[in-house]
Parts: sequence; structure tokens; C-alpha cells
Amino acid sequence: MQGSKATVVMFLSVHCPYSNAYNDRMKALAQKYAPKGVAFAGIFSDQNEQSEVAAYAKAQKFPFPALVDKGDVAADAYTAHVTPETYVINSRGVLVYHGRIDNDMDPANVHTHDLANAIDETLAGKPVAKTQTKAFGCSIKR
Amino acid sequence: MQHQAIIRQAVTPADAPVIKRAIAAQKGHVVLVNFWATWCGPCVAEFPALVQTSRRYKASGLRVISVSADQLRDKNTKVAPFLLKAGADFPAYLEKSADPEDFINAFDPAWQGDLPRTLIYDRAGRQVKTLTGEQTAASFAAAVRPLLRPVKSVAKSKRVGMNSFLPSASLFGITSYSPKSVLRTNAIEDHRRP
Repeated sequence: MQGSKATVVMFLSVHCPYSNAYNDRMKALAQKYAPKGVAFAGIFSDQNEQSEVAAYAKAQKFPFPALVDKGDVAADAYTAHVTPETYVINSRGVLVYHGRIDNDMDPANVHTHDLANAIDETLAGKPVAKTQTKAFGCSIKR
Repeated sequence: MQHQAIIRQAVTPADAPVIKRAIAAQKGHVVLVNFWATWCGPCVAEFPALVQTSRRYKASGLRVISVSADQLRDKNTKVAPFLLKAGADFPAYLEKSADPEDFINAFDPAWQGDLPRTLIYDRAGRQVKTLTGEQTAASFAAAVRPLLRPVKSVAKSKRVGMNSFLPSASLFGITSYSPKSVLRTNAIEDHRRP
């Protein structure tokens, strides 16, 4: 992630339907922002599905690395609780956003693009207006 | 038709203030509020224990309220049939707010939105316990049983002196004591401060 204008870390899951509902949106975000110098990483921290991550990531054709978080080292370091849960780190290594991708599991009901807004503001060199958000999600199984 | 009518009535879309009013309306009872969703594996797994807990402790004053975080469009197709099949005999709500973040913060600013989550309110209507992650019948019981202790055991404690029941005061709800007792309790707590 070194040399990136921003890094987006996303905690996601193989089995969580709430997380799965965001797969297409996560792919779209990565495809939109990777050419602008933003690095994306997907982290799978549920301990009960770690053997399934590689096959799932391949089937989903994620345009970002899918990382298996053995022992929840990453989830603990980020204090991640749910899937999906995202973080934006700027080029100076400062955490500038933590929270949801948007306001609703159903794309038809989305009216607040919190993660995209945070990325846009970071790329523009502006402070992120909303640095922390919340959404329902599946508990990470530690 | 009758079956369909039951399903339609089973789940009430509501925002946080409506659900909080429903909790407050149960003052005098211990209230267990379970936040769940049909898409949440641990929520579905613990649901039989929730139903069992409701049935087992209803006569002792427990009131269970369930709040689903499912989509509104799934209310009659997923949520209501699930509750019916599970034999849920308690009020069921479905989160319907302009923004789920406001809903989450209204119940607990420290809550990150992870499900399942169970909040327990004492007889005075105060939120006294939070259970995170999948629960069992034993863990639900362990959380509510101390709050459901019969009133006569409180009276018994009173006879042996104020200090003997102080540790349980926060569990039973201060409204059951006289204003004088409350003052004395506060005085003792103040005395303990450095």
C-alpha cells in the first residue's frame, strides 16, 4: 500500500449475507478508485470460514487482494466488529475514516455514500467531513 | 386468509423512539430487547433460546421484545414466517428509520451495529446489561434471573439492614425503596469516593 494516495481496508465475510450484499459495491469502488491511486484490501477475519476464503475470492473475482486474518490479528488491531466494516488511511498513514460503505444493505435505498465520500475528500486533500459511521452487520466470529 | 392476517400483524416497523416507548411501557417488568436479523447466523441460532427464555420467565415478570434489522420488504416474506415458526410469543418490531446509524446510536452510542445484541432493562426501566454475540438459554437466564428475584426476598434483605442489600439495589430498581433509602444509598456511595 506504500506509495498509494489512500488505502481502503475492508473487513468482509464469506457467509454473512449483509457483507455479501456489498460485494458488487466493493468491486465497483475498487475499479473506480484504483486508477486514481487508491489501494484496496479485503480482510476475512471470521475464524470459522478461513479455509473457504481463497475459493470465494476467486469465484467473486474481487479486484483487490483477499487476505485471511488468522487469529484475528488484523481485526483486533483495527478493532473491527462487523462485516462489512471499512477504514480509509491517507498517504501519511493516518486513519481518516472508519465505518460503513453506505447507509443501506439494499442499493435501492442508498442515499449516503460514506466510504466514497471519505475517499473523494482524501484524494482532494480535504479533511474527511464524516470520519466515523455505523451500520448493522454480522459480528466477526473470533 | 386467517394465516396471512396473523403474519401481517406479527411485525411492526418502528423507529427508535417507538421502540423505546414500548420498553418504557413495560416498566415494572424486566425487559429483554433482542436485536437480530434473519440474515444473521448467530441471531437465528440463538432464537430458540430466546423463545425458551421468554416462556420460562414470563410468569416471573420478564417481557421480551424483538427488533429485526431486516429490510422492510422482507417483513412478511422472511421475518414474520421466521417468528411464527420459532413460536415467538412476544412483540416483534422491524427497524425502520431514516438512517440505521441514528437507530443504533439511540440505543447505545458504543454499539458498532454488530448483531445479535441484547439489552436488558430492570424493573425501573433502566438499561442494566448488554449481551453481545450469540447467547444460550443458560446465558440469557444468568442475565435475567438476578433481576427477577421475587419481591419478598428484597423485603427479607431489608430486615437485616440497609448495607446487606445495597449490592442488589441497582438490579432491582431504586423506585421500590423509600426516598429516605435512596438518600442513604447515595450518601454511602459518596462516602466511598476518594
